[in-house]
Amino acid sequence: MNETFEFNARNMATYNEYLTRYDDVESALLPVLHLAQEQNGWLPEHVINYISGLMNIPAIKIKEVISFYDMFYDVPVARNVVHVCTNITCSMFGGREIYQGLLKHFDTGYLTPTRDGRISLQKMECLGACEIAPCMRVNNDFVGNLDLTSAIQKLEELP
Amino acid sequence: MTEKVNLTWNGKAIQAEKGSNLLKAALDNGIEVAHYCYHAGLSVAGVCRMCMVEQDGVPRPFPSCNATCGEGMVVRNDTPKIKSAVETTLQFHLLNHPLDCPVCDQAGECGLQDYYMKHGVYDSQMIDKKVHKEKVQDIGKNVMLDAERCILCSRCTRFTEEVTKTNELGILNRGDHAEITVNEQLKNDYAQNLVDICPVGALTSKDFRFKQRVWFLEEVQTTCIGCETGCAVKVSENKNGAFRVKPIYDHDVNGHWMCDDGRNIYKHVSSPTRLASATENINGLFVPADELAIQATLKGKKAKYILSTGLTVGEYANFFKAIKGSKAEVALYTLPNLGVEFDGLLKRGDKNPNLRGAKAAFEAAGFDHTQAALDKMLGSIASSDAVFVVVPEILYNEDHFNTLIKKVEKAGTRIALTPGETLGTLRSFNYLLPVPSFLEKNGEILNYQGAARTLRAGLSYGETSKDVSYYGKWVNV
Repeated sequence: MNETFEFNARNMATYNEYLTRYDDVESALLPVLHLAQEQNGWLPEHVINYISGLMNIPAIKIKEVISFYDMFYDVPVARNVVHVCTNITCSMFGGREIYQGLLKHFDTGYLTPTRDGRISLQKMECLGACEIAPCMRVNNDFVGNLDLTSAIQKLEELP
Repeated sequence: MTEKVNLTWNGKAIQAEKGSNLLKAALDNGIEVAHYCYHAGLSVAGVCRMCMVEQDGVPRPFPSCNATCGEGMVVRNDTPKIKSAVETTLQFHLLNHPLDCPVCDQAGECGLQDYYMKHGVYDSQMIDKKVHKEKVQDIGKNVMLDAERCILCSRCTRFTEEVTKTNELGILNRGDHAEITVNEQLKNDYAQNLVDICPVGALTSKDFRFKQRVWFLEEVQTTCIGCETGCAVKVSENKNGAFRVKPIYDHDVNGHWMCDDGRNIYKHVSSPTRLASATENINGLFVPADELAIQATLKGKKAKYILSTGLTVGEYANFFKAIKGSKAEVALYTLPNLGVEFDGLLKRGDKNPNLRGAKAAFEAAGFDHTQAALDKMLGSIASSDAVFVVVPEILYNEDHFNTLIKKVEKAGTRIALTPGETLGTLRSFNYLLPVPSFLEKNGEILNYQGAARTLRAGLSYGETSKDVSYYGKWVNV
């Protein structure tokens, strides 16, 4: 595994802009990790080491952050990441059943990419969109007022 | 001089430095406060919530480790409110604890056991299954990790972050699933301190694992002879020998810690190959010998002594007193430097525990302690000589010592005085005589600062009660 990772020019500029937002470098870690994940899809060891060197933060501290938050991935994920809300409001409207139904339909597990590499499903706590419960987030778009059929239909449309 | 403030803790008036740690002030004054995450040598984390106190005028309990001393503070931790707070907190600490005390090395000196006896809620309210984590993990440097027993006090992660600055350990995941994880195997030279600071049995020493129960051990406070730093240590031992070495807090020398090399200094003491009585080497066959017979063979021979730097100040003095008036020659064998001069924490490259004491004693007795003098003596060895070599207790570099032995081979009678194991290299000696190890003698050694560090006898082992000066009396040409 000799993979290398480096921010591309545009992300490097964003990174430098992030640094100016905070008093210290550590505070910029969350946005920087999102940036790296956006570029690489997930956060493998060599990306962590790159950020560790770049920001001068020990690798284990970055791993602590990544393992703490659900939205950073330390396993490979598919092209499209789908967050299905299973928190109280969505659960009351059938969010859990939708999540289980989607897993069954796509024959996959938590965060495991489907065999065609299209979709990774992730059970999520509150997405903050209770008004359209049950809801899910497809990449960066919210989809609400779901039932299992419409959810499957929506996901089958994904590239 | 820092300002002192007066405060009251559980009705007892105590004094502390202004702005110093409130919990430390209590502990220093002999007040018992339960705590896991606080360690005087590390930063404050405030995560274990065991040291909660109430203060007059403050509406809610707060952790004392994260508070500072101020004039006129009235603090209590014996109120019903605090008691129930500590009990509840301890319940949470024990929530996922596997309770495998019968097979746990920490049993007997475990924070969970100690506080459970005092603050435990004995009826379990647990209805859920415990979360299981990986148990026997070898994380390197002789440290074993049991993630289940861990209460996430974060002392170990703070140690690798702040003291060794190597950052190998971290707490991964969240909530129930949070556990101590190594980024890579431990790589610092102070890893055994992690075992010491772990308040529970999560980090245990591979060396000490399953060897002894701690309540069968007695502790002897002595000094590490691993290098010239001279850390204050305690050696745990019983009638079966010594089992482990742990540091004692010493503000001027080692602080709270000691290095991993120092953990091994006890090993030769109760080794099965340790020399127990006077022995004669007949063509590679070691047979017990009579000391008087050995004495007789030495009559009329010229005595040459090569001392090590591991003797105590008293032993040097007695030795030079014993040979006073004789024509004996004396030289000093110093161990070669190993590694860096000073690693920035405690470990020093100079492995001679009492080099300063040796030099002072040589100078006081009018002998030359330099390497040149040793070389001169080695060059002049003739077959009519009896050469006594005091073998250094801890030999980091056997090859270097072997070259010395090679040069001694010309002498007619070669006698090794050894406090350690009968090394293969000692085959080239005619006689082997036991001398006490650092755990069997009382005395002082001078460390790198020139400060006197005390050695205390804890064990009596075999016949090794005679010091070097006893053998020094033998040859009086």
